[in-house]
Amino acid sequence: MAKLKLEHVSKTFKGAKSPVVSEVNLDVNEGEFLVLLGPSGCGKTTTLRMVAGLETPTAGDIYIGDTLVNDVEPRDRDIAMVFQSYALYPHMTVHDNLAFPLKMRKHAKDDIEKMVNSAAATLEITDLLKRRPKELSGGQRQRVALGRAIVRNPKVFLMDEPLSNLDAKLRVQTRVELKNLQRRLGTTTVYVTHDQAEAMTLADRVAVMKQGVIQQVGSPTEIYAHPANKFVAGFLGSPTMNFMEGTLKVADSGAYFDCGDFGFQVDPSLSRVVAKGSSKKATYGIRAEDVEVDKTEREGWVQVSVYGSELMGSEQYVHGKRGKMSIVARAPMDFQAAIGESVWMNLYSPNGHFFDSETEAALA
Amino acid sequence: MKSRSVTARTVRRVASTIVKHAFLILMALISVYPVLWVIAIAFSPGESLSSPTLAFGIIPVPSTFTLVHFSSILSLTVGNGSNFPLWVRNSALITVSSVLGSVALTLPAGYAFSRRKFRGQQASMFSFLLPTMFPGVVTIIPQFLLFSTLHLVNTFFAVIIPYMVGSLSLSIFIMKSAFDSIPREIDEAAMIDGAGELRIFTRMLLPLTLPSIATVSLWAFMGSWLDWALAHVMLQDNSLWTLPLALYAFLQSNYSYYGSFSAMALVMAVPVFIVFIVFQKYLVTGLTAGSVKG
Repeated sequence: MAKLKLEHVSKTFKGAKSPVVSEVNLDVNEGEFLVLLGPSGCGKTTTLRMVAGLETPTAGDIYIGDTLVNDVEPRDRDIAMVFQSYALYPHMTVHDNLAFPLKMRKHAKDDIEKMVNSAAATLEITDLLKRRPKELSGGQRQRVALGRAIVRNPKVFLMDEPLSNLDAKLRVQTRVELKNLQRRLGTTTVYVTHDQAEAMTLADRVAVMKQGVIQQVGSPTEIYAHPANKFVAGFLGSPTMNFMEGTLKVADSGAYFDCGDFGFQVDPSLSRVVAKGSSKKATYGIRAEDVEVDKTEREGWVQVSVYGSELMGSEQYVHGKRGKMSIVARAPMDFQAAIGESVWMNLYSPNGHFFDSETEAALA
Repeated sequence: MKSRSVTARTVRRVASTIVKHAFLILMALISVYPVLWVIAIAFSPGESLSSPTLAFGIIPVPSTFTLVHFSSILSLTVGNGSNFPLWVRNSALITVSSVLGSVALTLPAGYAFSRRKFRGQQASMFSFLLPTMFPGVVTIIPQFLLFSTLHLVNTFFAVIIPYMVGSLSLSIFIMKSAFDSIPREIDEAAMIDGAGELRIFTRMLLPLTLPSIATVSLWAFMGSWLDWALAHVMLQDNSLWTLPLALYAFLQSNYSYYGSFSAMALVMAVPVFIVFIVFQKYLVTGLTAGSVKG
């Protein structure tokens, strides 16, 4: 295993006006599982491919261990990559797929057999060794792709959405196994996904990307609890965080968030970012689990009209509307409200977040 | 009401099937009919077109079954010992060289058009296509002049080189399409696993494009094995004759030897028939490779 370092790495494709990846700085510690998370086209896969050597950075340096690898061929970087499509060699058996990287590195025949058998045993695919990829299920192919990555014990694993082709149930099961495998092997891993649930469950640290720029790097809990900006806050968590536009007013009596036809007192510490006696346009964000909901009117709570609910098993999400504003609240499974019925929601929570309406950066 | 509409639909479906099959059978018969004549003449005694008898007044069958024409073509000699085994050898030599040469040129060209981006790529592709827009015979005269200048007329090179190059336009498109159908991730995975470009080409791409390689080989094979026009211009010495030239000679003499002609035509068709049967599966796969992403 080795640490990985990206310094001011940028990539602009030929003929493109703007960079796909811009000024990425990233340190991945030895043995760490780092997830690059972001929506489609945010540059996460391009970043991964630059680490693999499949794309050349337009600017910046990439280090694997202490070696600058900008000009090092992919085969000499001692990395292994698992592709979204698995990229198994269709004309070779599973055994030969696993043996191929070892043959290329001129390992002795006996060693190859030992290493292939060991990797196959680790991933419980020993009984598949004689089959060809087309004879395998999606989950089995995914294991073989992982096997080809672990078989030669590389310094770094690079994984490009390796679970996205699996069905939902298998994906959940496999990500637990994957995390467990990475812990056992202790190999530095960079994992690309657009699935925030995958990022939260797998990562030691998550780097959230948007339009080629890293928005925030931190542990899953840190990013979830303290998002650096509105994008990160909205991208992590399911359902998406509720956002409402308004004006943050700080007076001697305390801080108040005014949404027009309703408002609420907020944490007085916000007076640090808004001078007393002044106001600031802001976006307030609160997650569904922090919104309280009741069928009886309470002081300070906001009346909303129910327009749907999603039963999730032990709990449900109640969707409400007030004017043009939509709010989702988590409620117990037995909470019953008909569509169109009025309910009351407490939209203020100390866990809520304020973001600058212009820059979208978190306030305080 | 319901049963009536079902019956009407069934009748329409059956009628449609009958019409389609009748049309296909008719087309197949039209294609096969001349071949039946060649077979009947080849196995009938005599050298006349009227040697076979007609079953049901239309289907030609040998009047008496004989192999005399096959033995006569084996013992046939023209000029200074130019004979059937020599023509077979010439045809085989030219065809094998053309096929190998064509495949050797097609594979790297198809690979380059598929995997590399280079200046003038579109123009190069168009330049390969350009000759296919003219009748093949148009190129024979400039080729003859060129090979005359190079003193290659009356050598095998004068046909091998045009055969090789002649099949390239379609072959390169087939191979490009075949390479395009292989996901780039396969190359990239192999690259990360430690393979260089040549090894990726030989160990990954070639095994995965075998059906298309079979198709382009077959294309090159047909182009050279069955060609008469170019060989007729370039190979004037009868010791250099190929089978189509020898076949033509039967029709050029004072007396048309249709029996021997038909026997030799059948012998010539045998390798084509075998190759088609063996590669039939690959041929279809190869021609459709890349049309649907698998």
